[in-house]
Amino acid sequence: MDAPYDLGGRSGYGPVPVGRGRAWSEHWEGLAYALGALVAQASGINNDALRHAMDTLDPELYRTSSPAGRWLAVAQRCAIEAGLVDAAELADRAARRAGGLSALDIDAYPEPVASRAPGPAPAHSKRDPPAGRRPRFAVGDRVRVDGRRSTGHTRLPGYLRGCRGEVVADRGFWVFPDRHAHGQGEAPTFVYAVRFAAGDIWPGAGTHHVHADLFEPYLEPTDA
Amino acid sequence: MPDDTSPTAPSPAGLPGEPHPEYRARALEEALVERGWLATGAVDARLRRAADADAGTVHAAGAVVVARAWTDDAFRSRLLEDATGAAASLGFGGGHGERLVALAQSAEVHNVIVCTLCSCYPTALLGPPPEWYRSDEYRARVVREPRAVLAEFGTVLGDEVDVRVWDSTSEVRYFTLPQRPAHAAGLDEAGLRDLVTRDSLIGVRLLDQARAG
Repeated sequence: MDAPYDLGGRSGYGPVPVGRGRAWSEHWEGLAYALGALVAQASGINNDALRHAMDTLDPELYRTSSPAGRWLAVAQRCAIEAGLVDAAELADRAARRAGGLSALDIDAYPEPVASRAPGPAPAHSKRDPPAGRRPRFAVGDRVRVDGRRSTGHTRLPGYLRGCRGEVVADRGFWVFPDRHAHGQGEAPTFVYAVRFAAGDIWPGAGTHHVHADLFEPYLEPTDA
Repeated sequence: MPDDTSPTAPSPAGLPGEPHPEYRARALEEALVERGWLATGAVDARLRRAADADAGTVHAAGAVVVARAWTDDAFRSRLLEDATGAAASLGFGGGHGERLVALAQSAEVHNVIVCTLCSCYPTALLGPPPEWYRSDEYRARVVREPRAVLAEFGTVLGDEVDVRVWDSTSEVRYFTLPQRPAHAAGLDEAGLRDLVTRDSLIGVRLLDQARAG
């Protein structure tokens, strides 16, 4: 079963809601997006770990929630996991609000248990390659995408697994999300824009091309 | 239209047994403020900034960049070579240090952007993404059947057009440089800005269509 967030190319979806052209419809949805960003800053979680928190939401919750509902769940989860607030406290505060009751005194709630040190907002993730580190691929090279499935966070969309394409641009040297999301250091690496013929991904899909920015460890050389 | 001050009346919209998400969001905010992790008013201030960016001037920065590229060939060349630097020269940049890449539309090539994994988007130029951009339908379908998706926006492209979909899977943020519309003759740079729509920079609409961005 593929991760619910990895949606590219999945079948069974209906018309795009083209009329929903604003950032959100209901007030709480705007709150959810604001909270997601602010909780990420307050908890010191890096962008990749934040995305991983979204990736690993309960699949049923992901499928049945709107994008804003997913962000609210991620904000709650990150705040709890960083030890900014206790889960029972959040549930009680929400229930009291729904019941028209005022909040309890903060001392009535258990002290949150920090699982990680909150820190400053994450730094940018572009790096300078160390002397002597050269990109493995050049524009024009044919590459094959790793066909294996990742068990952790990845920025490799499932629909490209095992596909062959052509490098069309060098995007520079960046922190590697597959490691960084799991607290395994930055492990920066080169990123390439790779072009794929749609018909090579989905037989019969037509004549268009799909491009994705892929991290060097996802790719291997190929002559095909 | 998003309203930054008045909550919608809570209704039974959440999961069964859960308080309405407005209450859950405010409960989280309240706890973080009381415990000293957030400043009072920080959430509403951020919400207001996003709502402003989503209001009439949603694509203002993007429109400035595009209108300059239409009137200044050197800037256009720089934009296509180094969009991060070109946008920065006009005072616009990615809040998280993302790299910007501009994709030129032409009669032969049509580009359209998406993020199939989440909702990565050139926020520095276009404000927060529209709901349809975050929708599962758009994310699932536009990589596989872009012509059908574009047709839902009223954009019908000839068979001869090379359609290129760009999946935003890294910290690169894409936007398109639309063709200058035929009806724009005689307009100055300020007038041209008014023609630029958000949806044309995402690549789902053309500027010669009815202005519905």
